[in-house]
Amino acid sequence: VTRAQAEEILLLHRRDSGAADNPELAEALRLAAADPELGQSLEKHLEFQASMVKQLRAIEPPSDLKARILASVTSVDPAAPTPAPMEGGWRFKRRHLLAVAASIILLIVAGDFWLARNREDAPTFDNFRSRMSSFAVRTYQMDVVTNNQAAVRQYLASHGAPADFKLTPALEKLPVKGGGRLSWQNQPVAMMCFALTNNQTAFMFVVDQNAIQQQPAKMEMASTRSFSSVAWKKDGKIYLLAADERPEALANLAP
Amino acid sequence: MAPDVDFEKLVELHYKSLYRFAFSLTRSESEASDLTQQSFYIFAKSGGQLRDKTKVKSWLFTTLHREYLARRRRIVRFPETDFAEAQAELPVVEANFSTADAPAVLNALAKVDASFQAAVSLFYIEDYSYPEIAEILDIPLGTVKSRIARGVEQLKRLLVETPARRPA
Repeated sequence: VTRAQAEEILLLHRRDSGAADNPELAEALRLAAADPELGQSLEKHLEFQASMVKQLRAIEPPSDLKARILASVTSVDPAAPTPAPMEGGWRFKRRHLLAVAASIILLIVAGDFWLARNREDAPTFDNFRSRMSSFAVRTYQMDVVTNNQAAVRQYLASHGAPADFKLTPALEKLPVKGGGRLSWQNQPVAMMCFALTNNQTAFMFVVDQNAIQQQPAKMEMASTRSFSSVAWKKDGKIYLLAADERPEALANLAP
Repeated sequence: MAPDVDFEKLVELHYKSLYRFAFSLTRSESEASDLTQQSFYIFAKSGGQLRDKTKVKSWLFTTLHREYLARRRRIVRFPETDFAEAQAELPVVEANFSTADAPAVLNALAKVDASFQAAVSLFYIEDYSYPEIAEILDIPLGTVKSRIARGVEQLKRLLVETPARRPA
């Protein structure tokens, strides 16, 4: 215990508080006994403590308070509801009730979220289409921006994504804008983007068909408020073409 | 009323110290009387549920303090302070306090931060230990020490600034 620490310890010391079970206090008192300045400071502090005790204990209650207290409790029926419930107790109960309610809500939300995530994470074609379409709508970004289809394929091949996919004759006629490598269910997905005549972009996603466990027997056209998509299977790969375009126009680009 | 309790004896034993505690917090005779009375009333209503009868006194103090906080809560928010954080801020104040009288002490106590008052009052009025004060105020032990240390320092400083009244 240093001198500064001793000062702090002694600040909380009362004359009658035992030091036997408090080694730090015992050490601080020993230091105070050996250090005249610290000892004098301690004496003044203890004098202050004694003065406070004396003055505060000199407060006297009104002479009739005891009688009033006894009169107020003589007719109390413990079984009756308390007219003035203990605020702390009520707050305690209310706080716990709120905590329990919040926990239940949290569990329901977390459970729902978990189920939703599980549903979303299932390797179904619907989820693949949904995730790829969302990517195209929200976070569309090409890794390579080029009109050179071969350069896009080279990039895809070098990044482990399907690169030997076959384009439909209609897609072959469209200018390429670029492409990128995505991932879905830890499976590589190739993206190739095409310029449409109305300044829109068509996104084609290609994934190995083994990546999708639940595939519909027939790939159907799908359309949301902002995007349409068409899908097909060819040579062990699943193709998904999505664009902000009428479904019929998109269907013309599919096989 | 709680069974197997001699209520009159209980009141006789504790009402003065409860009143002093209440008065040190409120500095109002009527409020302190009301809080004391209310604490015993609550005990009469629900004190029978108290299993450990040796805890009656601290139960009464806890109840009184909660009642006080409930009344104050609408006005003041009480900040929490960590002991370690408080230590660095403690100034050294030396003075002769033996001449301070009760009104001066209460006036000074009234100016001490509200969050420190209850701990300081219990420290002096009842000689409660720190763990006991922590239990009564339902705060951590470190916070009790922090509040007492800072409250005592504030009290000292205030008593130095406000000379004690001398009898005429």
